[in-house]
Amino acid sequence: MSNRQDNIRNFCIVAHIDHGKSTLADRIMEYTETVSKRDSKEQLLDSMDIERERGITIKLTPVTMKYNYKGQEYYLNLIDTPGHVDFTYEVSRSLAACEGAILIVDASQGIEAQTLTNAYLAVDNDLEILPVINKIDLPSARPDEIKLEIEDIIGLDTDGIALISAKEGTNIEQVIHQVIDLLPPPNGDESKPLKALIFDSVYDSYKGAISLIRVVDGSIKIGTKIRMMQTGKTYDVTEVGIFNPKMIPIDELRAGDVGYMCASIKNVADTKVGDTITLADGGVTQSLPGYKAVSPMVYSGIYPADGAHYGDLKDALEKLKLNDASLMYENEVSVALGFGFRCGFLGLLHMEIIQERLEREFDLDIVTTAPSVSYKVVKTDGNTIIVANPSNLPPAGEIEYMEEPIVKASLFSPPEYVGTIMDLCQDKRGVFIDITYLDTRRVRIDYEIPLNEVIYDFFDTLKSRTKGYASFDYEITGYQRSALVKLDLLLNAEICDALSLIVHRDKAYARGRIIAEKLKDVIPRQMFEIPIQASIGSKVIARETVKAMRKDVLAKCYGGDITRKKKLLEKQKEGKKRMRQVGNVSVPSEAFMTILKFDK
Amino acid sequence: MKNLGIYIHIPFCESKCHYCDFTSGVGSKDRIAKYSDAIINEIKGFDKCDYVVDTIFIGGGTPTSLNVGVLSDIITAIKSTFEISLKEFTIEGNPNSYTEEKLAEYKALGVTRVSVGVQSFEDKVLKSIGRIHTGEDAKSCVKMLAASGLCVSADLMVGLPDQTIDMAVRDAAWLVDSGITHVSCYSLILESGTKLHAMVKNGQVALPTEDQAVDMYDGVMQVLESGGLNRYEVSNFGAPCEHNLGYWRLKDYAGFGVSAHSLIDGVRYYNTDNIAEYIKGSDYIIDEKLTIDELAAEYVMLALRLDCGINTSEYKDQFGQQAFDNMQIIASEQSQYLDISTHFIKIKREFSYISNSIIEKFI
Repeated sequence: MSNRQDNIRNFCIVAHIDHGKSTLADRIMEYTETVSKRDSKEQLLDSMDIERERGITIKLTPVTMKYNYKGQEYYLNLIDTPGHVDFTYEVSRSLAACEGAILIVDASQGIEAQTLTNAYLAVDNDLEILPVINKIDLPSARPDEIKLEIEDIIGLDTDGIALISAKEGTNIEQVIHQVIDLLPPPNGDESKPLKALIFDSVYDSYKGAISLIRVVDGSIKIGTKIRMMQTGKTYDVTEVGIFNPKMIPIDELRAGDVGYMCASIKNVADTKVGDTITLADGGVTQSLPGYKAVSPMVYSGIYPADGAHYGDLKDALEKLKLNDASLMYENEVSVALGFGFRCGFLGLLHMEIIQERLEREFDLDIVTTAPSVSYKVVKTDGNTIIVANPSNLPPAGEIEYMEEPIVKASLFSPPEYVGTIMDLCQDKRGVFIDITYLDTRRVRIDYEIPLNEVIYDFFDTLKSRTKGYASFDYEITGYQRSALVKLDLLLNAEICDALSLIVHRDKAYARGRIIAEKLKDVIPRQMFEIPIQASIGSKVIARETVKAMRKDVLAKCYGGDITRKKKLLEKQKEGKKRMRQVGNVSVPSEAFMTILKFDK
Repeated sequence: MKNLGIYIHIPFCESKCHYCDFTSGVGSKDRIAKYSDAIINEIKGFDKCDYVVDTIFIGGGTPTSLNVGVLSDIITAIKSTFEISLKEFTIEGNPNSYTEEKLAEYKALGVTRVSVGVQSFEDKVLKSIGRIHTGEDAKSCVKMLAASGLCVSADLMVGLPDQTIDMAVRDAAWLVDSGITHVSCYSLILESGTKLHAMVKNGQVALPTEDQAVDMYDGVMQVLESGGLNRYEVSNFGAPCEHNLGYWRLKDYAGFGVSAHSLIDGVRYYNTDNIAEYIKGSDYIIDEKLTIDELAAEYVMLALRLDCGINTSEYKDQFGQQAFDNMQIIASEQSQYLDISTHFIKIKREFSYISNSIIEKFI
């Protein structure tokens, strides 16, 4: 009898964002009749609203498909992966649960930044890579050139490569057959004690924490007494199952299988992503390699718009953290915003996603402060401290010098945008490293850029100036000494801590002026005149004024409708309560967001 | 026996103005007849009759667009239900709906005061807010009313699309010269859901800025006061309207008709704002039973709109020393905006147009 694992394939699909990962996943599910075409919503594996709306994948979603091939029944476990630069970490998690990866390359755009990053990630994880070329239906498709790119740049053999259109369902069968023929089966040992990797977890209000697992050795079923190797806690398994893509309970998950496991785990922190599950008695001693710890690149303060909802925000962050191991947060107190959290994110998109999830899934009104990176501050007394919140910067007199994180940015673009991109990078204090012409249509430009510049509007500006053609990836290379200053914003002569920024000296004037102008537009007129000043230390570098309000009377009291007038007044009062008080100035939440975005 | 003000709401107009978000519409003859029957039923069903009615105000809508016969039936119902000792009886209307014949009939019904919605004498401005009369129509109407021997009030608006300060001041000066005794001047409030709101959103019309609107109001106020029409409330000038003063001094009043409000023995009631439901005979709705604290807050809210302000001894008598002390504390925190003396607390004139922000602190 053949090994049952020979009929299992665990694979993921990796690609640059927008190259058709989720669409291919949908087609494969339709082709294997896991879902009928009639039932299929666009992009089935993207379960969050945000994922579907933005057309991106954030969370990992596995699905188990049955498929008959050459007289045998195969179980194909597909794990969808995120494509955005911010979520490289999540990709590496899903890769650890697979033996192979389909690498999609867009037939017209070719190899992009994330194509390479993900391909290298897969190689690092010892995965077999199956390249496919997608979007061959496009008039601009140039599969022969793309084949050469794949061979030259990534070094993969393209003989017999599947040329597909996920959108139109062309050659999907060929891809499925190649998955079975070319990707290796798992080779765990079912007779050994249980060893399973938690590659993701989700919270369910009925079942508690649900762990998404890959069983490496042994098996797991209802009643199995398990132990989490990191926390040492033990549980009785209450349910195991697979995704089809809905959760389907089954009797047992065995070596090589991918599925889920519930064990009435109440505390979200007890199902650590990357942890190894083994038997409570007679389990293994050597855990699976976890994931390399991620360090946040971007920080910002998140506060409840209404201070009374601090507890709700705390609960929400705790729940999000369960689903998103890369989210970091700690308590923070701001004079202007009260109690909140300083959160660390993988990047700007990650930050936006977290904000949106807090607002949509948890129905919270939040205020976010400007993103910051972590700076190294060398003090005159010789000590070095790390500062991620501008408010915590020591007084200028105590600072010997400061260092900021630098990234190596790789930009891929058609050659006509080289000038534009170089202008942008120069403008962002970038230092040119190299330019490589990949072929007649693609150029790779490398720059060293301070992360501080990247986290503002770099990505948006890049996309708009290159009409969306350029792609971009970056990695932190280290810290560099830099002329940084703290830019404060004063409202009616009081510093508003939540608006403070750390910026390069050369940029301080322009930024101070823009922020002051924006604040003038968003702060409503009040009963007195409000000066808005931007300053570095005691030096004022920009000033605007919100004039005193002159009119707020309401319409006449029609027919003695005093109640209406009273309600309007109460509403007005309520509206003011929702604003933040900086000294005696009422500041609406959106004022704190104005420093996040800079239009040119 | 307590005094009672009566408000009758007539929700019918010849056409709806662009800025209006009030229950009103064009009524068919049949609908108007059914509506007046419903009002008469409501009046007759009023069960607290230990009141003497001292003011009546028929507002809308455009009450003057109705047949006098309909109004007469309503007045008859009031007289048969209540004891009457009228100080003031006002009817409201628009320039095109007043006629010499109607005026004579109103006098016969006991009307003592007529109010006319002029808004502006500028044709372009009138057109942009959907008024169906011209500036000339309004002028001849005011002249006719002024000659009638009745007390006359005219409504003006500031902050209208296409309006300038010169226009607003000119309008006020003309009214002063006409010899009428009362002017109300309202700043346009852009209510969502109105046609004007949509027009502004689409960029079809542009409104003056907040500063311009206030300058218009200041200009109008100056002209009216130098013409002898002194301000007694944020929006009202001249010989005070007794009925409205009743609202502002928390006097009991009964409102009849669709969406009309009442205050009877410290309880606020209101009627449905759906005309069809009202005609079917829906019951009034109890809005709130005001506690003494709420009454005190309302007293402040309403009194601070008046130029005479809060009467401190009256406040102490009605709401007690404790409430008075609390109110005094808030007043002293806001003292930069207030005139505070032993007898009254009032908003300084220069801050009257931001009275809401000041009043808000008291509620």
